[in-house]
Amino acid sequence: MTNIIKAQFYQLFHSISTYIIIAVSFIVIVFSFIVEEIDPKTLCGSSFAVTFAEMYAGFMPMIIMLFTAIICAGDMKDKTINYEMLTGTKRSVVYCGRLVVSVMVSVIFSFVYMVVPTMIVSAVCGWGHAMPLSDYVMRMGSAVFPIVRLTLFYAMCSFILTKPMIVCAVGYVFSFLEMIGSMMAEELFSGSILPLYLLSFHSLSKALCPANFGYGFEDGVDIMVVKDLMTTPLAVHIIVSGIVGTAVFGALGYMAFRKKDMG
Amino acid sequence: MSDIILKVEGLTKQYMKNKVVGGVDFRIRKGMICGIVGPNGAGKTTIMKMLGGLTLPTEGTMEIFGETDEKGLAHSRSRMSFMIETPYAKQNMTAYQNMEKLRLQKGLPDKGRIKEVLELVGLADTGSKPVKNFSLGMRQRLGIAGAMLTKPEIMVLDEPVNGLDPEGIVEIRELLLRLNKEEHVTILISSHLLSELSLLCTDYLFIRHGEIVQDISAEELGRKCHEFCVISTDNNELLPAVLENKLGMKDFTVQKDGSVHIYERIDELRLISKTLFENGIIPTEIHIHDANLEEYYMKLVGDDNAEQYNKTDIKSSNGR
Repeated sequence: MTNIIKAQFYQLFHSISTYIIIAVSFIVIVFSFIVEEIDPKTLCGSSFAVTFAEMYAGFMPMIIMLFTAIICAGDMKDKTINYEMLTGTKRSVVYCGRLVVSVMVSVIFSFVYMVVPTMIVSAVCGWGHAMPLSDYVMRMGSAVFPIVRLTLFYAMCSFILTKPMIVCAVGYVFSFLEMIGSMMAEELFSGSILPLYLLSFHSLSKALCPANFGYGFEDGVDIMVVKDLMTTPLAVHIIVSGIVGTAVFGALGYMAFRKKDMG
Repeated sequence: MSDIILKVEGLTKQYMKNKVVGGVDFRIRKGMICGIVGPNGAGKTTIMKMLGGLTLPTEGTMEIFGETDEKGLAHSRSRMSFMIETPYAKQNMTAYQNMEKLRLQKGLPDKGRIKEVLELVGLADTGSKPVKNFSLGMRQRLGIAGAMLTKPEIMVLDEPVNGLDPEGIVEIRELLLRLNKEEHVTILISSHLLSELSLLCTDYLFIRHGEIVQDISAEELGRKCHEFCVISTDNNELLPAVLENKLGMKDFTVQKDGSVHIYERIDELRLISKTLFENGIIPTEIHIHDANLEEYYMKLVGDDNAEQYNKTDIKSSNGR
């Protein structure tokens, strides 16, 4: 499997689509920073993390979807997977190798896009008081599970649908419906029902986005402060639903790939 | 037979009610260059895909290097190289980068092998040109380079000279012959270019409607496609004895209708006629028949009379 992973990363580093996604994502993120018009006087690491959490919750699934579609469906479409199998690599290894690479890429890019800007802002402006650092760490730690789970979902779609464009289209529609569904459920049931955590988008939003804000007073200035800190039950729900979803999507994807006739 | 490295028995592939490959049996011996010949849709690529594990057979068994189970077959495939349908290449990467990716994936330690195989197929000077700008022939060469990267024991090549110019075809043929002779690589190759295969193959599998209609050596095929003399007389029963005893001929076949096909000394028609007359046999038909490979192929797999031709042919061979 190590060889498959090495070859995949070599391929990604030498693929123009990787750099296009990185460049476009970077532009989108910078653009959203600009349009937010943050007051430089109140800017700090914690306020930055809180302000852009919602943007990340909507944006990261798209990035994950693109990379996973390229890694899994792209390689099915251009027959890279066929040639791996023809060299005697077992289907399970081909499948797991791709999942590992997809998960690594998703986690790395999530870290780069979400954590690195916050770290830079914190380094320049300090952490601040909008949210305790421990809460931020807990939220980011919990967010890894829905991110992995989303990756496995898109990987499953890729192994079933085999074409990156179709995976992206289906993934986009599904993410949109999921977002609408989770928002409606949130409104109707006040987020109190357990099945809500089964939705990846909702789990990611719950992990990243604090919902309850209030104003605090610091150095004579009113500042926004997060009131609903991450609780252990919420973190456990996010983690458990992430693990269960990962296992289910992983198994379904392999079932689709195991007996597939490769064109 | 210990030199059989690939054995296929009853290999079948069925999609719903459509049987693409129906109960194929064949054996590949070490050192063979075996050509799979058949029209489009005959099942050549499907057989190759099943050998490579890309398509799972509906029925039948495969034995490669003595391995039959899934795990063993996967291991055996690491000793083989395949080029099936489109040659593998990432379009935005260069020839070298594609080879490097393959090297990493196959876990080969020797980076120098990349330069070696690219030089062998004439792609060493393509520099930073991405594969998407390659001609079809260059892509075919890259596919062959990829298949050669591991120094395989068996190469399975699906239409490897497709799209190559005449010069390229000659180069690839010479390359494959060299690999076969010098590195003892066994080759299973499919092509529509029969004349090309005839310069390469030691054995042929003629396939039609997913079934092998003939498994024949190049020597035997050459004999069948060679010029031969057709003789029919008023006393066909005596004819073989006269040819054998009076003229010392051994290389002839007796046909179902009693006529004889002579494969040797066909430039001595006067002597043959004279000898027959001297022995009281009057020739009613005597002519040279020139059958080429294409004609043979067309009769065998190209039309619906193929089965009839084949059955007649097998009988005549048995009667020799």
